[in-house]
Amino acid sequence: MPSRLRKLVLPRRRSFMISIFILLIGTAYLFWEATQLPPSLLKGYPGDGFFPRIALAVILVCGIAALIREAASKQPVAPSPADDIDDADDDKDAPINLDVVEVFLIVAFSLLYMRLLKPLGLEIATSLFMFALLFPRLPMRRPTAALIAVVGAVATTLIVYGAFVLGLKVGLPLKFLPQYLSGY
Amino acid sequence: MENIFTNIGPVLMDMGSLPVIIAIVAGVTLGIVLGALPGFGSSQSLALLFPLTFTMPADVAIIFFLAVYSAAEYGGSIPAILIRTPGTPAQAVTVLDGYAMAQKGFPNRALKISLISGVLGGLTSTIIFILVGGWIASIALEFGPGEMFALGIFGLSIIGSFFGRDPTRGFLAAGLGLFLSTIGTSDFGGMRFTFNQSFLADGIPLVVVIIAFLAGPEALRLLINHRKTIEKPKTVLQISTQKADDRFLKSDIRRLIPTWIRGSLIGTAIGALPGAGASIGSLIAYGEEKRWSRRPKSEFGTGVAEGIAAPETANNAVVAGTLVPSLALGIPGSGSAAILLSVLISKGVVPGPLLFGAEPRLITSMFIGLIFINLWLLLLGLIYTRGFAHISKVSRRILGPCVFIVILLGTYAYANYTAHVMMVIVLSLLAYWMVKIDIPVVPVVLAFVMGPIVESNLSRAMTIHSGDLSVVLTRPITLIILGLALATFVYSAISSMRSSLSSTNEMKE
Repeated sequence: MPSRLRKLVLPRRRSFMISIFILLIGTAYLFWEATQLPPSLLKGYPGDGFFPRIALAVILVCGIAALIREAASKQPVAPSPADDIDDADDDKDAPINLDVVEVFLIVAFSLLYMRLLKPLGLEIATSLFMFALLFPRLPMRRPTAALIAVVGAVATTLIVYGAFVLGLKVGLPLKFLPQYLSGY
Repeated sequence: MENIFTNIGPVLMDMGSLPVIIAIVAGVTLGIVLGALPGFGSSQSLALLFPLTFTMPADVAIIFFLAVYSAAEYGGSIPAILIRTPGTPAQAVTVLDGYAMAQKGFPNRALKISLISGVLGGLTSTIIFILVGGWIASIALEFGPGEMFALGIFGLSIIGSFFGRDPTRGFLAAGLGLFLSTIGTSDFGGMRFTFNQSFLADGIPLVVVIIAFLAGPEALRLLINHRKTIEKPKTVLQISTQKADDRFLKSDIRRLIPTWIRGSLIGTAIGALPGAGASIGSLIAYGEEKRWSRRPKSEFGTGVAEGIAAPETANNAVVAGTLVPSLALGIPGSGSAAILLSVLISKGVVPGPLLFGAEPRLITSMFIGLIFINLWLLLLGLIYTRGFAHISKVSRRILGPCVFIVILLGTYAYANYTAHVMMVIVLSLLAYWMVKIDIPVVPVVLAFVMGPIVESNLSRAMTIHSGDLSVVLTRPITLIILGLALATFVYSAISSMRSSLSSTNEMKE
């Protein structure tokens, strides 16, 4: 199952139409929400819901138009698969390739990173996060990949610390590195 | 205009100050580096570097960003010429003659033509920017809120019409951007679409939308697509392949003057049009060069100097061209322009017709700054252009995690607020999916920037006219501008229908 989710192939046209359909349902609900916003007490001011209703109406009209247009257009002939992964991404008629497991992992790691940034500090949290992202991407034997990932993660942490904390004086949560470097 | 000229002296002094020099040198270097990376155009580069401006004063921040923008437009040409990999879509045309010339043994000549053309394009369009921008702003000063609202609608009509495969998708994305801009507290204190979540009360910050929609999809693509890919090694053309006279020739100057003039004018005009941008500018400049050049058309694509100079002049001329509608009218024409406006807004400067009168020193800083930036670009480009070709060989597997950590920490640094990072993650996923299903993401950002301007002008106009929308919309100038917006929409709809009909006919055949 995970290997199937890693190489999920979705028909582009159907994906587009389903996405737009979901967007339209959400937009319709938000439009109703906008109509419930209180009217203005100021004479002449159209109310807080006026402009959002225009924006949502644009989404509804264009969404429906895009759906009709897509349904009316002919299904393009499926092209042969591209050699390069970026070319495959750029081909707007080819099916959509999606690695759902990777998307899930990236989101999970990011949320965990944000959760641990304060308790662990920038130094440890960033090193762990970078290691988690780098290690599976290094195309070599595991011990070598682990070693390079550790070095890469620590180096990135130091660069981030230098750029954000020392260079830009951004108050990121630190555990043991100093907030300011001074000659005194 | 007088205010601008009286500030030239003090601004020239500023250009020699250490913070400005550091901003320009750092901006040019980072711009070339990021521009040379595959997939990173100027807007992605600016979005990624947006957090660096949080602690900078307004004038230094804008100079830094203009340096990044100008250098990124040039940076993409280095890998295009040396390894046949355009850093940005705008350099796709440069590959044709640039790589061919480099292969013939003249890589340095190709790189120098590209650099000098880019710098000249940038300088020419800067002069046009200050003349035309001030003039347009002085006309727009007469506009009331109704006219400014109409102008906003006109900008949105262009943005929706010319981004993406068809206008419905462009307008859909623009609608989404407009809606996102309404979340949170309104100008009159009401809460909209917060669903009792305190983190939504202040709305979605501009920095979140910029990073999520411009840098987010590319970062996710790098992380997801390049997890286990085997990358083909790219080779940079070696010195040994060079010919003895591999240098910029005096005869090139005489031959390229008409090309530079054409490229500068085309680039500035295209840059001033919302929705067009450097890719279209360089493509049109190349096409026009083929048409007007004395050289036989068949020679283009075989490594001729004009084939490099035309697109490179145009894509750098776009930078100052973009500033004309952005600063004079408050209409950002591209993702990069939207980010530039966002920097100004984040520093409390309101773009629009009043800007030229209210902040003459800042406008002069931009004008003089752009000239200095181009001169620094020439200097730094001559020193280390060739070394930058190796940057484009950085593995995308390593690039992905590095870009992603900058995005997360950059967003966090904005207000030290975890909720903003969560917003970036969610909106980046949305943007990534939008790119997958071929809905353009740039209109979301442009509409998000313009949404509050359009809404506040509409509200003010309606309040002045006691809520009578018909009075607002039927004033002569408003009517003309709205007519132009309608014409733009109809034109784009007709051309889109024509193109889909012709593609259907092609499929039948």
